[in-house]
Amino acid sequence: MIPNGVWLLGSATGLLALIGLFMAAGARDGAVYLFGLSLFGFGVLFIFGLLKYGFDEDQGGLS
Amino acid sequence: MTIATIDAVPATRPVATYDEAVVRLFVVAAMFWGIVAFAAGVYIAFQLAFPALNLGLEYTSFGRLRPLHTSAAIFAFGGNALLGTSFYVVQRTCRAPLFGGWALSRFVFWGYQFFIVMAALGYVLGISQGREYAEPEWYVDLWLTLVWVAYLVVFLGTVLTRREPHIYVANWFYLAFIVTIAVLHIVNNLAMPVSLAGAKSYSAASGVQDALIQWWYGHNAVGFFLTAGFLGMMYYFVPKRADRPVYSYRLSIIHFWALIFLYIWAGPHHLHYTALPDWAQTLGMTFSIMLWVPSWGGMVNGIMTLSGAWDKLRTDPVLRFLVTSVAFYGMSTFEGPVMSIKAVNALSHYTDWTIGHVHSGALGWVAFISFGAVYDLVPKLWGRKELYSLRLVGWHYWIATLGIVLYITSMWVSGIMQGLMWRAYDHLGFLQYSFVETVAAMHPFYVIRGLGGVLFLLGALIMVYNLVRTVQGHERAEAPLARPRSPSGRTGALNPAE
Repeated sequence: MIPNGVWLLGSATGLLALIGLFMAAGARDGAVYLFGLSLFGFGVLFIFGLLKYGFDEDQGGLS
Repeated sequence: MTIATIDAVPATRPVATYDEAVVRLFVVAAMFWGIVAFAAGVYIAFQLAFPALNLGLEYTSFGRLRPLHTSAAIFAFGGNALLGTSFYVVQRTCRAPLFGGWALSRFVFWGYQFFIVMAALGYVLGISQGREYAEPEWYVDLWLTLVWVAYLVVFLGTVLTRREPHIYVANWFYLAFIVTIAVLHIVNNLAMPVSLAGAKSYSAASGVQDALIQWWYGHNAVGFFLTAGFLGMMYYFVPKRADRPVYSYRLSIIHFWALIFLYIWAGPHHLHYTALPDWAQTLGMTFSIMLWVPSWGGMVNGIMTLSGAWDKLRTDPVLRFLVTSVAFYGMSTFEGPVMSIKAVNALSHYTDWTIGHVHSGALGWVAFISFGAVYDLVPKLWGRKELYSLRLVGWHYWIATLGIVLYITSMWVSGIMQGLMWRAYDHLGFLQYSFVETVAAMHPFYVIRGLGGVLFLLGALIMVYNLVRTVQGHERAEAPLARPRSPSGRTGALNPAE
């Protein structure tokens, strides 16, 4: 059973990733463009990480 | 992964599990960033001696790599060591798993690494607020605030859900570090971005007020990041490794409250002889001098914790790292207040003496206590009996110590010479030396400093090799570091003072 907090954290991270995309789209310089895209990448990878941890926990413990 | 069970908890209570996987991640990150920080430091040290090493590129110039080095050392190496050990210590001393579960602690870990990478990219690309130790621009600052709040929630939540009635003193120091750094970071980085789509921002304060806020932050980054946090580490790992209780628990509480009350006022000593009002400069100096008392109280408490266990220093180089770090803590917290005295500061400020002082604290105190803690932790975290080689730890200890000695003595000589040359004037009242003459005079000392850095980096590489072999489960067959004691307790050497 995945705790509610994980859903909450996953949703918040997804929102941050979306903000990152908007930042990159509207960026006026390379720094914000790079940060926005990286934030999007971070969010996506972190959510995949949550999925992995979730499955690992379901299978009997953290990995 | 392995999960440590809190087996000492009475059977009537539910068994909880410690999250050691996240501590392992922090340990690996601390070692990785440590090597990056030391290598960057060596490179820019030789850039000062041989400017051609700037390579004619803006990305590899001293101005951009210097904040990369300082941030890698303080926030990446030191920060990961602090976050990792705080998660380890708070779980064990509170007998509770990390609050928020594995997801929140992983967010803290990966979010912190993301901050480090974004800050580093900013330095190399030349994006900076121009505030020492707070160079990242507003969007990276906001990100760090988010991660830091998550860190506070995990740590404080664990303390609040503890199964121990008492909050062990190490946790007080860690908590002071977390809360104060949050306040410092937010206030010092109050800024108005030119546009939400652009990197550039302007500070909320201006002029001397801005300078004062910056050095209130800057000095307390030393006081609460590089001191209070690592004192938390000291109060757990020194007694643990020596297998002795803290020398005086009461002294540790006095140490805590005196230190956090006094440190926060000391920042103005960075602005002696500037536009800052004279009374504020004197206030900063006075509080800096008062800091001698809690600092040395803490040092005595750390060192005297070895009472009855001094002999272990001969056989346990990990303990040697820990105790030497406390000695360096004493030395640099003696030197700092001396340098804050206005008459001394008139000579020392803007010279290499300051660089030597900072590195006696950074290498001798911060790095050594972290090395000791990591050496102690790795076998436990990976379920190994002992480190791959204690002799290699001994080699690391001596090589790194020699490196520090070369570094700080060369910077003392160079800095005092530099200050004296700047202020020398002839009988007609003209300055005796041009600026470039002072630079030329410092060249040999820059080379010696660089060599000191090479030794320190070499020691860290030995450590990484030792830790990798330990994690792989290897154990080197080697003779013990010292002869075992005879039944009379005499070893042929002088008996340790006990």
